[in-house]
Amino acid sequence: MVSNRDKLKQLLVEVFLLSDDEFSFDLTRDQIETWDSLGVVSLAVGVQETFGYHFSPEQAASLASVADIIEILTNNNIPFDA
Amino acid sequence: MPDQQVLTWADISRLPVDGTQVWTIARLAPAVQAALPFGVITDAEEPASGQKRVVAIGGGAFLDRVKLWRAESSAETWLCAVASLWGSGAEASPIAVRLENGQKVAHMQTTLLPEARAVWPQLATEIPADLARWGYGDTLAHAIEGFLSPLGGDDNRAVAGNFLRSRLMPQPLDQSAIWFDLSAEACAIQARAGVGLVHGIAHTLEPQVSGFGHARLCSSFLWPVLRYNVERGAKVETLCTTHGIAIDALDQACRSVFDVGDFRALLPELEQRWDSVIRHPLSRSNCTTVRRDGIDFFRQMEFAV
Repeated sequence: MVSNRDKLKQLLVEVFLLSDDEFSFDLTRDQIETWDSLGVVSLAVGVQETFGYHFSPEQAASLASVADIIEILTNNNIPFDA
Repeated sequence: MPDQQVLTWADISRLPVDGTQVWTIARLAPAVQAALPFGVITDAEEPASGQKRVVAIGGGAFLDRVKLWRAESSAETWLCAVASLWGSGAEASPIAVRLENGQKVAHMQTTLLPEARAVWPQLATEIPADLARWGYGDTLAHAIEGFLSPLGGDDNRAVAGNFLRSRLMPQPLDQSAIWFDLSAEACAIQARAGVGLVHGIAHTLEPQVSGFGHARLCSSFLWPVLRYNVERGAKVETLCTTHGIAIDALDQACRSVFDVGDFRALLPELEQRWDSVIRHPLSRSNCTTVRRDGIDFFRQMEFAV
């Protein structure tokens, strides 16, 4: 079974148009050129598709890092292994 | 966004002769000269900057050119847009698309919205059947993508859902002037939200593929993209159910403008440019995630038409 961590990685690689090599769980919004206003929209769409969690527009806009995404999902009963 | 006046053809004919000029495509110039008392110039020319009133009559690309001319060169000109073909909705939109360095670039600003739009009913009866069908596909694409867009708010989605359910889907495609109004309304709906993968594909392929205009491209991909979005998750079906839209009827409407021969001719072009499609801003605001392996869906789609 694919872990939530791997699902998130695959999703972010897709919505931010990254290569596998470019991705890391330590990335921040400033380090991802495509995490722009459209990236916020496609991230919210992708998270809902993948995890069934709906970011509010304010929540999606306030995300500043991959760690922020994991924190919110974890706080909403979507577990991420260390 | 400012309100737009909706004028009748009789209103147009009563505009003051002094200060009013008609700017139209060459094909329509003789009919315009016979129907209206104003000076007429064709798309080979431009009005003088500062022209008081311009009535522009033509297709979507021409109306976009007129809107950009007004915004960039003659801001004081009062503009009324009359579409010669339904589908683009350019007459009702604050968006104008222009080819720049080989790419289609969409400009959006309130000054691009014409002060008024009008319908010339005679034009509806002269539209060839293929163009009418492709224009219907473009109209459907605007309404459906506007309805599903993650950029739209709940209010606009309710308007879009009602429009699709009670006005657009029940209306038989014929050569009726009502299609100009439906097209304009669909365009206004998408302008308040956004479009998605259908338009991401169309805008990517349009500068590259000869013989396929915007509306034909939208018609070719509307049904495949609807199927793609439905397969990707529950969002489409959930929104349709919430707004009382029968998904089977929506599927059938999209399928009615689909031409398998066109699709098969375009598929190699789509495969070749899929990386550009997924990077296109319109694809990135699609209602479902457009993934790198998404092209496989279109390759494998079965067409039981």
